[in-house]
Amino acid sequence: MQPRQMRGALLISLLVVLAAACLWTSWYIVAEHEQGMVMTFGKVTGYKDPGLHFKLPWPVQVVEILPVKKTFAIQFGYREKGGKATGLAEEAMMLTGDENIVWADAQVEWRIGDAKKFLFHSKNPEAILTNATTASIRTIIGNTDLDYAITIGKMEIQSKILEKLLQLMEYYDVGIQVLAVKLQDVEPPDAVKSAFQAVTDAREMKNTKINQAEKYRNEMVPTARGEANALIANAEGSKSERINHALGDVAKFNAIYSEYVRNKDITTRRLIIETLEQVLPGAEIYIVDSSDSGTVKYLPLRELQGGRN
Amino acid sequence: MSNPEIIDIKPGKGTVGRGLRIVLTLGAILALAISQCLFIVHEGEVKVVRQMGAVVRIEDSAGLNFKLPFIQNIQTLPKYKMLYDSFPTEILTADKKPLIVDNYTLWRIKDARAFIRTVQNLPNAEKRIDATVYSVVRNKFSNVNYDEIVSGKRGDLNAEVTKIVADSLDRDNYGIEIIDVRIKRTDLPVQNQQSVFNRMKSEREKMAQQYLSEGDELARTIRADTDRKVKEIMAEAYATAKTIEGQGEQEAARIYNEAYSKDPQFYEMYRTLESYKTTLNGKPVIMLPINSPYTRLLLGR
Repeated sequence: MQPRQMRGALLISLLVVLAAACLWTSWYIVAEHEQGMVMTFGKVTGYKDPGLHFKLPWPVQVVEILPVKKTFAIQFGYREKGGKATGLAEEAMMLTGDENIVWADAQVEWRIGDAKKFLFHSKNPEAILTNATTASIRTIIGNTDLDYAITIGKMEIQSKILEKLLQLMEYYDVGIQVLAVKLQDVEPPDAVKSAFQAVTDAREMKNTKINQAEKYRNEMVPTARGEANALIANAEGSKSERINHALGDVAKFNAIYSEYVRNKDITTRRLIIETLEQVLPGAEIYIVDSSDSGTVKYLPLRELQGGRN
Repeated sequence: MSNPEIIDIKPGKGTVGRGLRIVLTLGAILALAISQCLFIVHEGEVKVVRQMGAVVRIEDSAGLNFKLPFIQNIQTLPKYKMLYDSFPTEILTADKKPLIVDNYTLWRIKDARAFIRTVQNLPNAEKRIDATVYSVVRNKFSNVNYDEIVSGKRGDLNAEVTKIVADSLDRDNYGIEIIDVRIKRTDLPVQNQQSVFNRMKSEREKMAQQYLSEGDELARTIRADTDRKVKEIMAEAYATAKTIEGQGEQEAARIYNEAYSKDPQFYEMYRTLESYKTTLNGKPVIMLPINSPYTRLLLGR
């Protein structure tokens, strides 16, 4: 009784397991950013949009679900780990067109352009993309002069790299669609960076020296102009003063002269006496008799005047 | 496969047991038959049907296929593109510069029959490709100048190499298609790299010095120009000022002359008296001759 029941149970459970396995492999869910690719006996027979789908059980139908709407990125010349980027010298250091060496790193954004090609046209499409990226970046930088690359050339280089990479990936036809090439750093290698920095410093120093000289000019020239104006104004003043003094003097002279003409002798005497009056009070007067040659006789008037002074 | 002992001993109970066994046995036979007669060709691969080692046929379209059981077996080969990354190799360019060149090759099997006949498997194929690419690159690049390799200025260089490699492999009929042989990177050997760095440094030092000297040059020019300008301004102002003063003097002289020339004798007297007021101002010592009119006036004679 036990063995028979056990056998029956075994058979039933086997069937149940088989049925369950069939059911379990008969449905699948495609998420919003994905695409399902159904293969019947290995051959691609249909593509499925997001949602719940049913299929024939394994091994008849197999489904591959790929994130076709997701954007992926590969890093060239650096690796990012936990938000911290580390440079990769053997990737990022490359020759330029003028036989210099430059550091360039970039990020390439891509997505699955064709699910079937992505899965079946190559063994490792991402490795092909990485190699094509390396070739593109190095070819374009190899055709560019160092100074152009590290200054204003970034945008042009970037678009040339993208163009080259698109061309290569289209030719390789492995289902990858390149969306963008983003150059991160394009700069002189660490070994020579300080020399490049020194050039920048020197350029600043040049401007500083020029500015200081211009400051000197801006200080000196207006001051000189001011002094020149002062000199001229002073001269104008002197001129005016001289002329007006002359006019004043002449007016006074003319006034006296008109009286003098009327009575020459009196006016002459008066003028002399007035002048003496004005001059003599402060003077020390000696009266000298020089009629006898040899000795000088003098009368000290100071004592006579009561020793004033 | 059925066990006669069990049937003999327990005929009644054996029914279920036999049923189970039959099911299992049939299942096993079916599975074996299916696995021996059917095979699936997946996308991206070809199945080679071999009979006693000989290639009978090649199935390269994906789907379900049949073969004879037991005497035929299946070998899988990839149809997809494969990447072969060569080791970097140091070459000497036509203008005698050492350069490390790194290539990659994209290839696939285009004729499985020829492939199996010649190289049999992927590692062997990669060895062939490696050897061919190595020799072609060395030969080709030693005839090309440095800048043409680095810059891709000769745009067809990769295409040329690809064609030579493809032709060479075709000649031996390996069943391999070369899609692209491409220079991935070109680098200088380490010791040359250092000399490039030294040159770059010296170039920058040259530039820096030029900036510094240009700064001095311009600064000195500006200062000297400023000094010149200042001198010019002051000299012009001096000239103008003197001219103005001269005009004043001239005008004053004219005024004086006009007035004083009316009576020179009176003017002399007047002017002398005026000047006494100035020159004898203060405490002058005056000597009066005893016989001068003013002394006589003073002494009452």
